[in-house]
Amino acid sequence: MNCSQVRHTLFPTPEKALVTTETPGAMGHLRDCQVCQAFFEQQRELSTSIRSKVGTEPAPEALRERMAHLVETHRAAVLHLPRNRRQVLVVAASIVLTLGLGGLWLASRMPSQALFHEMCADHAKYLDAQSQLPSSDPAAIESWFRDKAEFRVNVPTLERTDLLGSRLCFLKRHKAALIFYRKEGRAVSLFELSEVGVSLSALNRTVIDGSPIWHQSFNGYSLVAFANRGVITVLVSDLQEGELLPLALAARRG
Amino acid sequence: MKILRFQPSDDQHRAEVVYRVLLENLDALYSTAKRLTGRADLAEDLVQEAARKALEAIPALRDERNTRAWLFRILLNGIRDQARQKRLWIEVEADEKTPDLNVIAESVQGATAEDVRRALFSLTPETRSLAILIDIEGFTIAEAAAMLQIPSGTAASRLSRARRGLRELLQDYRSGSSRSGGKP
Repeated sequence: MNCSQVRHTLFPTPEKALVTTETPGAMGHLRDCQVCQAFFEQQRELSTSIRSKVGTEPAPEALRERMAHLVETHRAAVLHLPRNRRQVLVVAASIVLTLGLGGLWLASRMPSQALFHEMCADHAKYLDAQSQLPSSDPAAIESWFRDKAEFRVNVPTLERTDLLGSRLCFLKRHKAALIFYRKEGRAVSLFELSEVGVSLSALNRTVIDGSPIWHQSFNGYSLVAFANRGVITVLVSDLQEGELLPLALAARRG
Repeated sequence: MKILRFQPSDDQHRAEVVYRVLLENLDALYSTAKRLTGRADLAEDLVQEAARKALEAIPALRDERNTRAWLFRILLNGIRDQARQKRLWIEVEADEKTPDLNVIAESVQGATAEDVRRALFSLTPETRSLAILIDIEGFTIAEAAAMLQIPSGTAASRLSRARRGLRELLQDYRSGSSRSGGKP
């Protein structure tokens, strides 16, 4: 950025100029350029000169008195503002509405939150991958689930992660496929269940590659979830959320 | 025993801030109104009307730190409405030309106070308002643009034009030209 650009960017002076994407560069130039520093000092002097020459004209005494009276009248009105019936009704209605909406929000979140807690509990319970079907073959596991789940179970192949097997489980009356993996000696449980009656809104939502992904930590376990074609997939592990996320993204890609 | 202390409500607190800033800036508001309208009686009326509107609008004030700018904005709305009714304030097309940065302070320093006041009043209202708000009242380009409801680039351009106009007028006065300076 040259001197001319800096002067346009920081016009009329750096403290009064617009803040734009150019500002940091211009300020960087200004720190090292004595010519520009002198230029802006001159601009400041111009403002000071205009201000000192023109001065500020005192308001007439009559106006000052009227203003003081206006302020006092207003202050008295504000201090004795009646709490009228309408105001009370509006406040009461707001409280009822807030409580009602809050209740609905809690009701919609709580069951799924309990479901996620139970997933963490199941992950901990089956840390040694007590599979009903021990297998490292995704196709065999998918086939095993075909007559057990109401949805099509997809067993993703995850990079540098060993597939150990699977089992069917029940989470708060939701039938779920549980698939066991191990990554660098750490257990990773992948749950798949029908989207019906499950809300992911209890988790934190982030959009990655144009689609939302949900994540949260519960009692030291990380949980990353996504929804696809009516099926919710949830990965649970004691890996950090950041370590689990690439696995979830790979699972989402299929 | 607990001592119960009177706690002012948010509205009361905000109102006290507005009262204080209003009374502290009464001279500046009056001066601005007078510089823009050229009439003392009209300036008084406009300031009083702006104060009345501001007190009514206290619940709408979102950030107390902007109270001064907010008061000027209300005043300028009133001035502009007034001037438009009398066709004195004509918005020119947005001038996004590069600001002239060759204006030097010397042109103003060497002039008398009376010359600067006359030169300022000779500017068109839309350029004069920028010189008043930014050079005299110390607002930023962005604040002045918001008060006048114009794009920031236009505000910068008009300020530049105001400064250029001042310099030219002051040079005319110094060289003894017979250029009419308008009302002081």
